Amino acid sequence: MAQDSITIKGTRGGLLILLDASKDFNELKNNLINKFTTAKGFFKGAPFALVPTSPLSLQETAELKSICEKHGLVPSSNIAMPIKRTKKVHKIASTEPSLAQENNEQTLLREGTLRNGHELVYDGNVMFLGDIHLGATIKASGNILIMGTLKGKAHAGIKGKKDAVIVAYKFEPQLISIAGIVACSPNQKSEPFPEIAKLINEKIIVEPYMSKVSRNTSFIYSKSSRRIV
Amino acid sequence: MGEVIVITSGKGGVGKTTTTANLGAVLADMGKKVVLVDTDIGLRNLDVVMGLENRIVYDLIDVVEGRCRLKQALIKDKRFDNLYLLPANQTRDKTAVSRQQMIDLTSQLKEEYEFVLIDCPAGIEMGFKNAIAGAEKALVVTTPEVAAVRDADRIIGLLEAAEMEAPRLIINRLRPDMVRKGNMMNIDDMMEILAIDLIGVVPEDEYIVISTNRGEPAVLNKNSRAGKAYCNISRRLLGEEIPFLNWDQENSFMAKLRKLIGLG
Repeated sequence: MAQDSITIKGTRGGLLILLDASKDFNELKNNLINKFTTAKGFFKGAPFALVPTSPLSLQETAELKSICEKHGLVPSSNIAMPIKRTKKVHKIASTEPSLAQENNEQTLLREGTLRNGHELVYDGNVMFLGDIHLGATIKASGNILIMGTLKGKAHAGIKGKKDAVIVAYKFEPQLISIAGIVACSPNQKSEPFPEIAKLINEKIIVEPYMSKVSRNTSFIYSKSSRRIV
Repeated sequence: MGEVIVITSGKGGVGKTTTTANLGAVLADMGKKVVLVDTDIGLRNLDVVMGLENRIVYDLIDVVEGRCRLKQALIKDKRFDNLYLLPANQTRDKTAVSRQQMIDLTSQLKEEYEFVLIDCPAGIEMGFKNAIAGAEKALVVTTPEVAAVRDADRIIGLLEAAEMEAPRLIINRLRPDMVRKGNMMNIDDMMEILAIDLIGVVPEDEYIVISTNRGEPAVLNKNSRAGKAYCNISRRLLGEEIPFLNWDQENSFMAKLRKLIGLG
């Protein structure tokens, strides 16, 4: 469908006009005019912002803007994007280790409690729903995600995968390693939020874990809540 | 058909044998038919704690090797009509009996007895494996010490791996005064570490030393705090809902006096 090149999204702040920049500019222009004429003044007075998938030239932007304004829309630069699928996010994903790797590794889902003396070894990623007790060990060639407390030992990337990560709801391990690089526990109480361990410059770094999606939505939340207040 | 319950701990000296003897005595006193099986072959103690040492003629090994009938090896307790003991052999070691032999033995016992309590040896080797072979339920005994709790965690893991019904925890030798001062792990700490259901807390009680030396269960003394705790555990085993005693409250005479004059 030709209309697919333009999507109009209503948000709290106003309308977001999403433009597929890969399409021909003339097609975009015609589609936009089409949309407004079929809506017959429905959009009148609404604040709007243009969101092209890739930057348009100044002239092109001005041209599209004038079409919108002609149909009674008010330009606004203050409209938050609900789901960001811009290039910037992709860049983050490629430089930072991410759980959603495009690898073909298997993921083991296990539920329960791993107790003292028990060892879970898996060639792939491990997702563990439960606690890893003191004295228990979990080893994976991929990432380790623990939906519980990690008190024992966790070895991720045991076959040398350096971008493997270890995530736990409560992170208080005896010992962790990623791709053979070992870190001992600093013997402190865990933080009350999930944490992630990853390898940066051959050193294990532990930091609060927030997924990219939640990081993004929290940004919008704060923005929109500021708007309400 | 009776229940086969193994009493285990991993670490030695935390009170498995005392617990077995006392739970058996209470259950027998309540009119249940109980047999206690000592699987600590080579280091038998249950008979000593029960005061039945001098009456041993045949033992567990004699039974599994067919030198006597099961009935002949069972020793009837002096004080409780429904309580029997199957003692361990003292000259052999843990390898003298196999898992299958234990399974056969316990299935034979549970046909006649309502409760088969198995006193497990310390450790996680052959003796432990034999002891849990025929059991359906397990009670894990621990003391409020880091090492005992760590071993209990290991044992619980092994019991779970053996696909046993979820084991329940007995905390033994708790000293409420030390817990109050923060010098001993409290019940919540241990529950959090071990993440299993609690069936009872037995306070430290000097009378346990006296009673084991005399060879009679502590539950015979109505004033024993530990004895009372064992009574409660037995009743919980039978499915009764008994509230846990609040160990945080000081119950000494001085504490009551202080409260009375408004200092507590």
